[in-house]
Amino acid sequence: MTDPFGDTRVDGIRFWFRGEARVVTGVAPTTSVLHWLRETERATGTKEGCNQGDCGACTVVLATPGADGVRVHTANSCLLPMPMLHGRALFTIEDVGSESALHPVQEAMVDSAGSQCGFCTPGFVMSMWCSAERRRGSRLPASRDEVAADLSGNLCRCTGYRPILDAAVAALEHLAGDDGAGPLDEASLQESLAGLGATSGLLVDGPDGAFVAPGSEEELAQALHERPGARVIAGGTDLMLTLRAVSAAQGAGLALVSTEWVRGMDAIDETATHLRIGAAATLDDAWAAIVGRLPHLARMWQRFASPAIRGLGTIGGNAANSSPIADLVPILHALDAEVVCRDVTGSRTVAIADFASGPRVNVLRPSEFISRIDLPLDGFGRDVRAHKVSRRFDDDISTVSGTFALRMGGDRIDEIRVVFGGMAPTVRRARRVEEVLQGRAWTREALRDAQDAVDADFEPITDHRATDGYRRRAAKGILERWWAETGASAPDTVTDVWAYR
Amino acid sequence: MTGGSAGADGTPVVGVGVSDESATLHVTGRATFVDDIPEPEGTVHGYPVLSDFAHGRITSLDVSRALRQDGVLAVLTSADVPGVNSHAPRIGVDPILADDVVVFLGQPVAMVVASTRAAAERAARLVRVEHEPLAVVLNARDAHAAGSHVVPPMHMVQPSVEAVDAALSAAPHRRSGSVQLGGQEHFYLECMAALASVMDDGGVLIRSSTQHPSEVQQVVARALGVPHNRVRVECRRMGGAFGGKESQAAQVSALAALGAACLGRPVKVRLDRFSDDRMTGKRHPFAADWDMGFDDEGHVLGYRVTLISTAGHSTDLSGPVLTRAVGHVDNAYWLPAVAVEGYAARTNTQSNTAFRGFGGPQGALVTEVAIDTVARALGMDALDVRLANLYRDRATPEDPHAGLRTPYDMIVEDNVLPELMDRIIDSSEYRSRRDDIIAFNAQSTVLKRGLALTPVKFGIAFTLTHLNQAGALVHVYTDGSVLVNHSATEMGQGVNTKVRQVVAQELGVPLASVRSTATDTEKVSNTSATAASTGSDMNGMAAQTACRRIRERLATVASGMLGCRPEEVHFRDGRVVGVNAACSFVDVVEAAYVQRVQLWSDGYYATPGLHWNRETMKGRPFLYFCYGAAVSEVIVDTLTGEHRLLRADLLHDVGKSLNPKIDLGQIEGAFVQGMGWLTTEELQWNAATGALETLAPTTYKIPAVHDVPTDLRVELFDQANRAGTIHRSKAVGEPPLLLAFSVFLAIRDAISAVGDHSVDPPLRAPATVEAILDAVDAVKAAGPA
Repeated sequence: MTDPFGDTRVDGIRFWFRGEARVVTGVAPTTSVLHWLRETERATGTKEGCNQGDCGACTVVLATPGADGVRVHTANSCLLPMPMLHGRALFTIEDVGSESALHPVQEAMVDSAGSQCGFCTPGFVMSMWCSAERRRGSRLPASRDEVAADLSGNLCRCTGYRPILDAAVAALEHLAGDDGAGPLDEASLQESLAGLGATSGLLVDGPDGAFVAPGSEEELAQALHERPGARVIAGGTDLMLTLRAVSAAQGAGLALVSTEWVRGMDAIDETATHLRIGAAATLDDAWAAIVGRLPHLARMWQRFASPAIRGLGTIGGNAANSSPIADLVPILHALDAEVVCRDVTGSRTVAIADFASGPRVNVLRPSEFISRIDLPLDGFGRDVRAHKVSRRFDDDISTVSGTFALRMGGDRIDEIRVVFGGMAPTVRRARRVEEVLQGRAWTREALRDAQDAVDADFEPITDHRATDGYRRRAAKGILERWWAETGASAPDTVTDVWAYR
Repeated sequence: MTGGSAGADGTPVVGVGVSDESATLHVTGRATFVDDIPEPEGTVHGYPVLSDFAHGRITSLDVSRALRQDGVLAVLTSADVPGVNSHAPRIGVDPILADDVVVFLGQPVAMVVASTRAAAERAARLVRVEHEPLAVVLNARDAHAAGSHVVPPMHMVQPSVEAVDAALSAAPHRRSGSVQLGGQEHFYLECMAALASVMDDGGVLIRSSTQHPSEVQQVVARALGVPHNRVRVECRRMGGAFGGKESQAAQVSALAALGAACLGRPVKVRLDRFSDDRMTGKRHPFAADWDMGFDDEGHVLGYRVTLISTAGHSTDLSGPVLTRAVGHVDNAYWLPAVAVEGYAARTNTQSNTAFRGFGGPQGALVTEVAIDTVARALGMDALDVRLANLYRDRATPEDPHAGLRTPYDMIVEDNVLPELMDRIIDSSEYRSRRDDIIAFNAQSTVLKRGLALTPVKFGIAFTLTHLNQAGALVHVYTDGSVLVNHSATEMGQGVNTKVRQVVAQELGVPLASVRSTATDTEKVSNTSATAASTGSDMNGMAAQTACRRIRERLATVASGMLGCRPEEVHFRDGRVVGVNAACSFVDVVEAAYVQRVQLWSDGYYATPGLHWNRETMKGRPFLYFCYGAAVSEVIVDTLTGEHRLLRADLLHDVGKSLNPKIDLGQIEGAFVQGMGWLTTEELQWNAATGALETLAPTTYKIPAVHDVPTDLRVELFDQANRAGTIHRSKAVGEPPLLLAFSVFLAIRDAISAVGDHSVDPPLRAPATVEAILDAVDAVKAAGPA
């Protein structure tokens, strides 16, 4: 097999670890950082709680170089393949503080009895360390809410969280007033990362498969063309789970082609007509760009997975997954997003509504990838709201989600997008509901008709999250909540328990 | 006190909120769990092959493909078990590896042993199991109807069946209902793990994440056909357990030991989250049918209740769990005429097991729901019905114990409920908040608020009397440092810290000079599980006894050095003080060593005064009771069924706290765990296949950080235990889990507001978004408010 760079050079994975540059070769492309830490390095402070990116016990901190400097963020090491460390710095609990020199977050955790059994503790400490070090010297004490958001991807079964939150608040307050250079000081990180000499290339190629990190979209297209069956990895927070489930069958020969080193692929820019979000933009960056223009979507951002997932996962990955219960995709529908797809032959644009063809199936051709997602600026003139219903507030997959975009012309609905997740094999617009509402006054009567139309639009399924009947009722319920928020004759009351104060 | 001699009266160590002994190890990631122990040379890895069908006779087990894989050393089956193929705790059979019949989906049928865990896991997928299907029973009521139970039915009656019938018939009002309570996955963050090594004499050493090292020892010895003295089990700490590692840690340990014995090399078995959730038992789901007679003021006159637990495929601990459920239907209430029937139904699911509360929460919650229903029927605030029935002295000439007699004849001697309830009604401002909520609900159509105050009374001791024993071993070294080892295991509940405090206090030495070590069957033997909340009670007492023996000997030595009588010697703050002179603790210890005085001692404790008749279900099963109460306020969205806990006030009785910091952590942690059980945590099995569908944290949702109310007010009810416990403290592990009833009942209250409290909400537990919306819609359908 040839590689797209014309030779068979394997670069190895270069990253900053324990205060020095490390080069790792000879791992499988899907070997997780968690596995490597525990089994190879015998650094056992990082724990395996679920191996699914859902408990946070394996949380590590990464320093990632980018156009705007070094970004410091958490990651679930169980979902992080080793080659993704390339060019990054990896920090684990062993880097934070020792028993004789505890870091302020560790000291606060000891003082507030933030650990009971201690198994989730290293993961919490890493999330708190990242959160606190990012705010070092900021003079801005973090609110309890902000702290809780930073810890929303870590599960604790013993404490009930209160002492952990207390510890985080105390430590963050302490560090906000500290002007010293911390362990995550940007200038020194920048220097360390620059010294790695990490470039795009073939990072892994062995009996267990290959990991290619092309440097441009052309190379990416070429790599996919030359390695039929290769999978695009764009963050990998979901792909790693899929690969694990089929690894026994696939095993050798698996090729992963990463978007991470593709120049400019994570760019977010605005043209005269569009907001363009590169497919490799992280979920947090994509959400920030959207929520900056549509502030009502802030809570949906907060409830999207966890900080560790949002800092690594990408908008392109989320769209390409084509999950029927994705939480960002409905917003793309409500904004008439255009998916720019590309392969060696060139690029084409697919309307988001035509992109997913079934659960986890889409119209991407073999060897084709998502290059960019373009959002017409016109859509940002709509009033866009989103609500999700799930078992739990934090880090849970939607049972049903609804995104609603509205533009009024006088007292009539001039433009309408009603999009549901969890109601059909794909995220889908509720066309009947939209028809019922188009041109109408946004009254309770219109709402009732819209609610009736839900049954014409959808035949949801029953699964372990909910019955079909519940999904219908919840969809109608969030329609009503939306009406209560935006309807002309609606009572001006909060109907969302999470907004109630 | 031992003979009123030497005392320890320095700066108090007991009663102080010191941090957990391992806290700095936890926060630095250096605390070692089983999978963190450096592997002995040659360690290989076992990965169990789980059945993918719920019930069937195995017709063929083909391991040939798995055996041919790189790195695979062996595939073990039940035929490889040299001794008894069962890890059952006391009664029944729980195969370590399935024999010829598989009884639930997820049952281990074989174990692949390979040089790496990944190789073992990959090969495990290649084992082929053919079977002849047998009828699958998943529903406990179906099993009950078919008479399929894992233990004989239980009946607890007070005073007689005839009296209960008569009271029910004569009661001015009567209501009946059914309650469905879901199970709960323990979701300890550390999955089951064991590392077994063969010792030179053919014995095995097992490092196990277990609440019950002695039982692991017994199970492994039986399975390998060797005497107990050839099996050593050690546990330094667990990454959570909550009852899940009481009996069922034995299976994984037995698998590791079997592998080690068969291959002659160290074998580690560490379950991944999926395997752990598929293999191991959970909190018992319960179904209940109740019938209550009451008067105009809400006094319960007669009560009949049937409890049906889902035991799963085997007996495990379902008997004692059911006993505790039956024995806790009274919760905090005097029931003058009550008849309880209990059944443990056999189903083709995981074998349900101990989980914090051990059946107590299920039994007590049924009655709380009944009381709530009674209140609605009478148009009363549920709190007033609770107060009307609360245990309190109602002595009459005929019955001096009226008002305080439990259904099992034990008299509630240490009752603090009336005082505790008064305090929390006041501190939580329950009455004025009730008024606010009524006003809010009157003007809010979509969102409804709800409020509930629920009490807790929870009995402390193992109901199986002989388990109430514990031992400790205390060593004083010649440099004055102290080591304590005892029979309890550390799972995060802080038992090591509390016992250390007791030891430091008794010997009058600084806490820092006392070290706790791993629980080890070669140090203290024949131990009971660390369970039933009794760890600190029993092991604290045992350690105190050991310390006092040492202290008496040291006092004699010191009296010679200080020129006073032994009883005039006091141990305080690392000093030994006589009448006119003092010296350091180390000086006395050194002198004692030279004088050939024993510097270590054992201590043993057996909880006094307990007796229990399993046939009549009468006696004194508990040493004392723990009490508590909680007020929860929730808001419910009647359009989607979402809810949020707005405020919780907890007031809980831990006697004189040994360590307020640890006790607060136990109370809050238990409350949130109980809240998870009753709200977001839902176990669902596929009705066709019997596969557990909500497993691992992607689909099984324990509370996360935003589920905890920002307004959480927790207080200790700080009164000495009337029973002679260690420093008059009380147990704390399980009782506060029942405080979470208040969340469930507050949700019921909010739903009830939809029908202006005229309709009883048919709310099942857990109160998921769908369960709440179903109940809301049912109330709406029952008629306009």
